[in-house]
Amino acid sequence: MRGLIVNPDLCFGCRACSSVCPARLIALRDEDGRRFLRFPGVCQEDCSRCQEVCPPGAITLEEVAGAPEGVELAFSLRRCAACGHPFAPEKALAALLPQVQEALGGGDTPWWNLCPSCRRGLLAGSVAQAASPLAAG
Amino acid sequence: MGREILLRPERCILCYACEVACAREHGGQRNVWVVSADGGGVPVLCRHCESAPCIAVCHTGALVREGNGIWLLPERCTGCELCLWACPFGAVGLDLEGKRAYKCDRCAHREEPACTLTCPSGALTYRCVADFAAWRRAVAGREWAAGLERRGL
Repeated sequence: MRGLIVNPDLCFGCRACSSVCPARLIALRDEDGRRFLRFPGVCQEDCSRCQEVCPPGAITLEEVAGAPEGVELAFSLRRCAACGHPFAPEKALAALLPQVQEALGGGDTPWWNLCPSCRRGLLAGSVAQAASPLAAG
Repeated sequence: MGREILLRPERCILCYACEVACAREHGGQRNVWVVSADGGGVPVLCRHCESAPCIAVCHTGALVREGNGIWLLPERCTGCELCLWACPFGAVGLDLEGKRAYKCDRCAHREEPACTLTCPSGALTYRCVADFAAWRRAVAGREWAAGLERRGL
């Protein structure tokens, strides 16, 4: 029996495994500001896509004795600081922030707590402000 | 120097033609968002950042820098969403099925992007940065001279 073992300490609640599973065995749902990921205990498909693509390397497919039960992991979603929309797992954001800060060469990231839509609004506001002398002229 | 999609936001009339043109070119998925701000509009799209957080967080090498742009290789994308969360400008989207990310590709399959060809007010243009800057300076100079003339100076 090939078991699908998830390390709950590593999994941070992204969509990769549920999105690539050809048999749709991994279910993702967002509900009431939380994300739920349900994994089967056993996977007999001839495929290891979930294990290959998992960003934090939380999934292991290996032979196990018996038929382990599936697990469901729950993640708290960060609410956008501007509109309140729950947009990303807190745990994933915490893991990604250092990588993003390094890519940007340090500095503040005031947009980090905004959802993508409100980040567009923030950018549009600053662009419009910078362009206002042109409109007036 | 390669051409880029550049903005003259003071000209945007909030007609959303760029969004429609973009969606038409990309199977119904648009990669540009017109956002209203200060009574006008600003088309927001991938800025092809030099220091790109989206590339830094992508685990499968689906986002690559080549030439003067950042390109999304759909066959490598898992739809994990990390690049959506990493983009400071909210310029990466997820497709309707939640299977992969999408972002502006400057209509790489055609000579000029659909949005810049369609924009009726000239808010979106497709030029080299150096040309664009020279053109902006020339226009500003002409407008300034016209202003002096109007004032009888």
